[in-house]
Amino acid sequence: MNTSLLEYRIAGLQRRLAEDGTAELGIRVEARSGLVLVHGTVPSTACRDELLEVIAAELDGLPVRTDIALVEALAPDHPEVLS
Amino acid sequence: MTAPESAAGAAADTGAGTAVRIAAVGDIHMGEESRGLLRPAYETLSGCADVLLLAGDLTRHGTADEARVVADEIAGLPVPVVAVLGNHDHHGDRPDEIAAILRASGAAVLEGTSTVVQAGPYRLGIAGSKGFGGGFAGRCGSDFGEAEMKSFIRYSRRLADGLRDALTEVADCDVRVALTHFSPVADTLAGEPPEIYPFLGSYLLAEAVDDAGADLAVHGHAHAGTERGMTGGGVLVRNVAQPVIRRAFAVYELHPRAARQAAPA
Ligand SMILES: [Fe+2]
Ligand SMILES: [Fe+2]
Repeated sequence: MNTSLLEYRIAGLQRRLAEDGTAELGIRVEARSGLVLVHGTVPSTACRDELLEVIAAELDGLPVRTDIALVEALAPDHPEVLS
Repeated sequence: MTAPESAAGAAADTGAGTAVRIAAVGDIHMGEESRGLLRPAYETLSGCADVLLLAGDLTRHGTADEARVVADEIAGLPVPVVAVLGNHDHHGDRPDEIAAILRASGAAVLEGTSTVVQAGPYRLGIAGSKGFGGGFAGRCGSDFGEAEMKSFIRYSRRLADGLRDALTEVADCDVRVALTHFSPVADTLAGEPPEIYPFLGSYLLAEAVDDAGADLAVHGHAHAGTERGMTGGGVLVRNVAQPVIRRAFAVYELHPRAARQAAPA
């Protein structure tokens, strides 16, 4: 078994994000040419910090690019009128 | 907390009394770290909505402590709050306790049940179920084979049947909304990897909505999906997962059939 293969490292990160306390199932981890892209939206800066820590630990040694947005908590400025 | 800066200005008081105004959001995934985050926006609801629907995944891990953060966030709001739970709210294996904590703060928590809210002159019926996965017509699991597979599909079917029954209960309302966490349609999943669609929703929910009838179906769960879709029977579907709508909530104005017919063209 070769657990250093990129696809298993990516699967390992996604499993850990879901199951090990971060409970982030909506985060995408994708192998791009030359780097691993991790992107998605989280509810708070605390969640983002926690997430970045797990990513750094789990993908240690790999070139990683993260794009983690925070949810927006403003009220909408207009309704959608449905017909 | 600082005073809320109202961003609902343009929405304020539009449609009051002539339309049913439904505010909705799912996947707020609250924990101690997000306490108070949504409250300022929720306090603007009296000006722009008749009800607030919460489409599940209200907590991160389904703990009682997280549920109390949600309960505090929605306690004493100026509009009724109606919720379903999501898969995250089940993660702690105590969904009944989570529901009880939310109910204690005044919310109605639905699972195969319905509630009626008065929206100006109109009666708004809301039928809710968490729903579950299984996939979409032609690309879905079957009640066949291993016990685990059969129980997966039977569970999904049982919840969809509950939604159908609940919608039927409110058949006499002016407007009916189906509230779920999992998606009834694939439309609103666009943006998610197609391979995981069977974990994001089930056509059984859409079939229930089309059988029993509804004016709108609202769901969450698909954080990377899109907002707009429609069932095979023509019922509008909106994915209100907070990362999708990118607001504290979305507001949909529905004009009841009776009002539409009475209004000049
Ligand atoms: Fe979620
Ligand atoms: Fe979910």
